[in-house]
Amino acid sequence: MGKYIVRRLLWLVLVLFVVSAITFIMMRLVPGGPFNTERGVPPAIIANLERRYNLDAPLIEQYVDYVAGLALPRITDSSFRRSVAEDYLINIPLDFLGEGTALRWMNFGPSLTRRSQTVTAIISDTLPVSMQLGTAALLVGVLIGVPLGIFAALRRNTWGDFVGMGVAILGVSVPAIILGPILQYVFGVGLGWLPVTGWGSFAQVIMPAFALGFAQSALIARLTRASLLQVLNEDYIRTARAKGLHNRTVIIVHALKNALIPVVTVLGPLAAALLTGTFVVEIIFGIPGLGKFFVNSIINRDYTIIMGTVLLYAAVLVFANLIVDIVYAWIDPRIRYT
Amino acid sequence: MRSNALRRLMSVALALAIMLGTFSFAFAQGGDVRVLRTGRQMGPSDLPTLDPSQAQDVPSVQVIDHLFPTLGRLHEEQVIVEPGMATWEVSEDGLVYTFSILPEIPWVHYNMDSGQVEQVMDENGNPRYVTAADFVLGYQRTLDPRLGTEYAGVLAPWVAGGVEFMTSDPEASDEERQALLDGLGVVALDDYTLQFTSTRATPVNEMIFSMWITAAIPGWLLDEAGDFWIEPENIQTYGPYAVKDWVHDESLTMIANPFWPGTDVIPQPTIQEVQFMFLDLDPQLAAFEAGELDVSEVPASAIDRIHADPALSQALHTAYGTCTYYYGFNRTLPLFQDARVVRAFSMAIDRQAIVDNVTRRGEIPAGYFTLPPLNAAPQQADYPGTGIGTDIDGAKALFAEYLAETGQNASDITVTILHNTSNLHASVAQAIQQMWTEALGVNVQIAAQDFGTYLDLRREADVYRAAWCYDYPDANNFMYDVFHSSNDPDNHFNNPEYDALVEQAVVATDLQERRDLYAQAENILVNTDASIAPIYFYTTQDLTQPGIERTYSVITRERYEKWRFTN
Repeated sequence: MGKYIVRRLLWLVLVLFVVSAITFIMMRLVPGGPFNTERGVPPAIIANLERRYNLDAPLIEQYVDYVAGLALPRITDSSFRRSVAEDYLINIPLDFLGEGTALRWMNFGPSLTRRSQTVTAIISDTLPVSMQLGTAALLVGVLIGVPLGIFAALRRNTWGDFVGMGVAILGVSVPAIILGPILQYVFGVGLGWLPVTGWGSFAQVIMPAFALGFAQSALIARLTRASLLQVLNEDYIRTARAKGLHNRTVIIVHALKNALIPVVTVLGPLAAALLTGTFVVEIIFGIPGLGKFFVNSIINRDYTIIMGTVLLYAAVLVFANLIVDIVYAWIDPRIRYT
Repeated sequence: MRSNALRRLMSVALALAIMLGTFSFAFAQGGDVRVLRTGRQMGPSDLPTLDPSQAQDVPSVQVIDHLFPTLGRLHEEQVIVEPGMATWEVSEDGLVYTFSILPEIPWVHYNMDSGQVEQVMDENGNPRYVTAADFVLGYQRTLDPRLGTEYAGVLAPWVAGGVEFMTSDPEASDEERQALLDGLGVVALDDYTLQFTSTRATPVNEMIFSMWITAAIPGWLLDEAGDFWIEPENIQTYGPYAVKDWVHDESLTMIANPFWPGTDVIPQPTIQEVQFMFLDLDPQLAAFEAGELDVSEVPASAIDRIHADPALSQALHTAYGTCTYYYGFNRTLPLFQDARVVRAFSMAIDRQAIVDNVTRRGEIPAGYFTLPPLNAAPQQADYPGTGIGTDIDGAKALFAEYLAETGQNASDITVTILHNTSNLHASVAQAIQQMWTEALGVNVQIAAQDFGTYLDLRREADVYRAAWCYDYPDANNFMYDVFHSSNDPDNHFNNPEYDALVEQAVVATDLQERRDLYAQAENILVNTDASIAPIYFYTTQDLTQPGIERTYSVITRERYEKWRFTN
């Protein structure tokens, strides 16, 4: 298992490298640039701005500089000063090598459209917010979805099943862009129970987490139901029942654990998508998360933010899938990695 | 078995508790200070900057106006320039302005630990006051080729030596650079006297030294904090408000600056804190209705509901925005080389129908290019028979005349409208497609591109959607800065008579004379040598909660120091 994890982490490096190269080439092939505006900025000024952000260098040099800045750790002495051009995500003090010496790693570069912010700062400000929201949404999804799926499967073809799956279909068909404003008007404007916008308090998490998690809970419920129904027909379930085990024990210990494998499979990419920010819900509820940057940076041609967010998403996705694989082995003892 | 299950349950509970613990439960702090919360003209994402030299968008400038007032101050309702940080005298030739800066206005910083706005002290423990040298640095910095600012191009043509410095080599030697700085027409004569030498004697100069890009800059702070000088922990300001907090991507809070002495033009604020919220239009309205916002903008989708609601319709106000929406016609295209064709296309656009049924935000149909509230802007009603208007029959007749002369059939003609991707632009383009097809019988196609691509393609397009939003509210910024041939407009418009009129209008000193000249130029641009079809003037729409006494700006940015709570 240990070897397997190490091997997967080495793959991660390769994946990130390929993703960075493809993203870099694609974003620079698209017409337009970060400093183009409708007013028509004089060419001399565009040239100055490009010079300031090193966009006038040959493309291959820009790419190598970017990857080097991001991937290669640097040891700095006390003369190092954080600037827009140099802002590292990881800073480890090494005072035993001399006062002010530090090991610094991962410089994501300056934002081209926000003049006092670095991509490192944007990611470290917004990623925790997105992760909190994503975790809460994932919890809503699992805590509603799994029980609903079990309930529907155990009451197959009864009114309980129809109601449960009806809720699930509703969840899949009502996207967050509709559900969000409905929640706002019902619980914020109408009843006045919850704040409509903003971030920071527990009350402000409830509606966005539900808006985001409801559709996921529907998906999870349908998967759980289908998978559980299949498992309940297996021989070992009959064996468990024949042993005289309590029905609840059969369901929870024997059936559910196996039925959850497909659910866990979708949770990997789902977690990656939710944890790295969700544009629509962040806009509707005014949440300072990473999702807005994903979309806006592409519209604004903010090259460094595009690179940073895409690489981050790729890394989280690979990690989430790695965790899924590890969880497989825990759920199903037959699965072994070498 | 049981203890195992219990252990698992407990670990889930622990994980939950840790997750919930990461959310702070703090809510609504600040005690008895009443905060004005506004979403107007902020948009759903963070301010790009608070650096006056680098700002180029309404949200940033809206905040900057309160932190760094300029020498002249633009009146937000009357569009005139009044004394801001200085009073001034003009030399007889109209080229040299001598400013007397308000003495002893301190630089301040909000101290997050003490919760107070505090004066900034120098290394000797003396207060730092805003001096002429700080303003000189502001001008120099905006024009500095090493910094590279988008708005340098707007400032440079007005300052003696400005273009030379802006276009100089960023890697020039220190001596060469110093020579260019010495040649710049902005000089500190003493701590509180500044001399500004313009390239032209024109009333427009007043607009220029009232722009945010000419604000005073704290040089010592740039040395200390570098690019991060505008972050809330560092920023130093001097205007009626200071920065209390800036939660990136969520909100920015200003707090009244007790050291601001208050003047007739820029009074001491009565509202102690103003919080700008970065929200999209629909969430703004929901927050407004839930009482979380004092001022909100209006999404077009809600406008019918707002008009139908007695309380909301009472709270609604519509004012001019900063832009004109227009269609540019490629004058190098054989079809549009004949100005009659452009005129016919322009006359066939039912502007009233577009603002009533498509845009629905109280926009005003446009017959001229220049926004009406601007300084020296001619009003179409004052110059009958000029400009352009909707006239379907006239359009048909004019186009038929062209077709007969050139022996063409309308059905053989195809034009493509280019617009940047947006639901609004798509709806307007579809409406105009229908109007042109019905009135003129031509084939109309629509091409939507994302903004960067659209900008690259505009010069080659048959017809392109565009909007011009002014930098400074004078007709010159529309008429000269966009369509004078030296600016190489995207529709390739080039008319010597037009050029001569707008050149004459910028230096004319009499306001009425300027209006007359611009009216003639407008008539060339949209009628006799028609090259654009002005469609509508943008508006801003606000909802304001009861109990707030406020101004209604026609320059989009409000002056919150003039607002007050009445209950």
